[in-house]
Amino acid sequence: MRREASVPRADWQERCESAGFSYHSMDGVYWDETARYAFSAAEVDLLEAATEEVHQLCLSAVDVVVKEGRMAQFAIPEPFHAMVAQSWQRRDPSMLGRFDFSWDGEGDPKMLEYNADTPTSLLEASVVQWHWLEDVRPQADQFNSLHEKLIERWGALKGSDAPRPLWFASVKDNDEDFGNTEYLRDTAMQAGWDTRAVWVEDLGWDASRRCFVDLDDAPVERIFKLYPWEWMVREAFGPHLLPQTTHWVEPAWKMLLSNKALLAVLWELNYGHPNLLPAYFSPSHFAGEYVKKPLLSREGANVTLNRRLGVVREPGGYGAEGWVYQGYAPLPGYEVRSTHDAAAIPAKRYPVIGSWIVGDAAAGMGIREDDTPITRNTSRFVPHYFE
Amino acid sequence: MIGVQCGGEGMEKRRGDKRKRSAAITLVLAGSLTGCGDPEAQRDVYTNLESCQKDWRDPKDCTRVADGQRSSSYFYGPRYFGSSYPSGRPRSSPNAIDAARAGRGGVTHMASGARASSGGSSSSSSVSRSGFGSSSHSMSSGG
Repeated sequence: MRREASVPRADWQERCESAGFSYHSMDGVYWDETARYAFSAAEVDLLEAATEEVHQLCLSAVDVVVKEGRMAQFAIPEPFHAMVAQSWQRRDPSMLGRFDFSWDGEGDPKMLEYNADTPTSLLEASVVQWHWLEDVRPQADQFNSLHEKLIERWGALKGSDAPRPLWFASVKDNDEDFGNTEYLRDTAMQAGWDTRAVWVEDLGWDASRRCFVDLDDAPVERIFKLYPWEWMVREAFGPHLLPQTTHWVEPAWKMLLSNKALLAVLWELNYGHPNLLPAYFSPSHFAGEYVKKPLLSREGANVTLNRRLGVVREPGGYGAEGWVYQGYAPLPGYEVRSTHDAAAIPAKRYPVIGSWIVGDAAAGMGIREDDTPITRNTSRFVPHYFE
Repeated sequence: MIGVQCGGEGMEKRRGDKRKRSAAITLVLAGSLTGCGDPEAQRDVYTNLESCQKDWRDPKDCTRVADGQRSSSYFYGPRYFGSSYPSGRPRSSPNAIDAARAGRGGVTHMASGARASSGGSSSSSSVSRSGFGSSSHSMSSGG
């Protein structure tokens, strides 16, 4: 694994926008093709295997948590425990998720967390970096069969039945969420689903029919939502989830995997596993460096690195539900020299590897890079290839 | 289908069963994205005539797709000036599956009136809304 400088395509903005990737420059720079990451085929094979291995560990962990009734450790409100358990017992189908790994190509990739419920950066991982590869290194390969696997997975969820309505919901006024959701809707349409779009805020609850409805009051029987379960169960419509009249993608049991309590349970069940980091509900297990993470947080918010060299803390409003303490696996830091001042101290870039699962199969990789050791919502997406 | 179709068949031959990249990518919803400026008309795309008439009532406003851009079983509604997302992409009616840009000039057939159903107006009194979404504060719900 190495980081290389790369010359941006002259028409990169147009290429991005042709795929519906309108938010390529949010926060200044988001899509960044001034660099790229290169891998060997063996490295990609190892990452692919690690992804599927950790995915299976996660499914086993859900089974244990449900059977042992440990949802309070995940700060899931008690009225929803049975709903989550039933969702797992029925094996309500899951669509996708994204593991974040710390890895520099040496040793074993270490799983940092699992974005199992509302993973984003999908369109850029699946389509935009694929276009980049076609344009820049067409002879190379890429760990990215996301598009094919998404269509295949939607097809498997649909079965051989006639097209049925499937709604896709994201929040209003957020281009990134809309872009990710529309891309998933696109792949579902290609798999034969009759898709509809609705804003999360526009979903209705029909008290007389006891079902969720769209803006035309049509019952919403199946819906993909890019909106976290942990928010849904705590909002005004939360109690309306309990009758379970709607099939949600992702399903309710994904609440257990998108929660940092998972990290401690995984370590407890798989102590010493090479792809996991030590993780506990108390910091007392660590004599040295560790990372403090809220059970529920997004985009690095409220994450604290307790390092020998000092503490790095990201601000945010999370942590009320509790914390998990995880061993510190520093992201690799790649030096970037200034093109204007050769004598200047090189800056560092810290990549995190997002490895996708679609259904039960590893499906691709997206790399996000930051100027700090904590990946945040402003981290840039950098394409990759392998040979 | 709107085409963002890039050939990948040759790659499959070159790399055989070791290939880990998608062979080809086709998008059906990727719309053209335009910047700000003069208002631009749009046409909503419907999967069937019934959905189109639900919005526009007059069957003359609904025409079967014949431009090869999408399935010929779909219908276009009339051109009209609607709202758009922050990106500039036009917002479609809830009854439609998509909205297509219809250009800034040369519009020959504009909708004579507003859509019959534009969301929410047909709701019955037993329906309540806005019960989800309050935690987002317009920030991304993803991670």
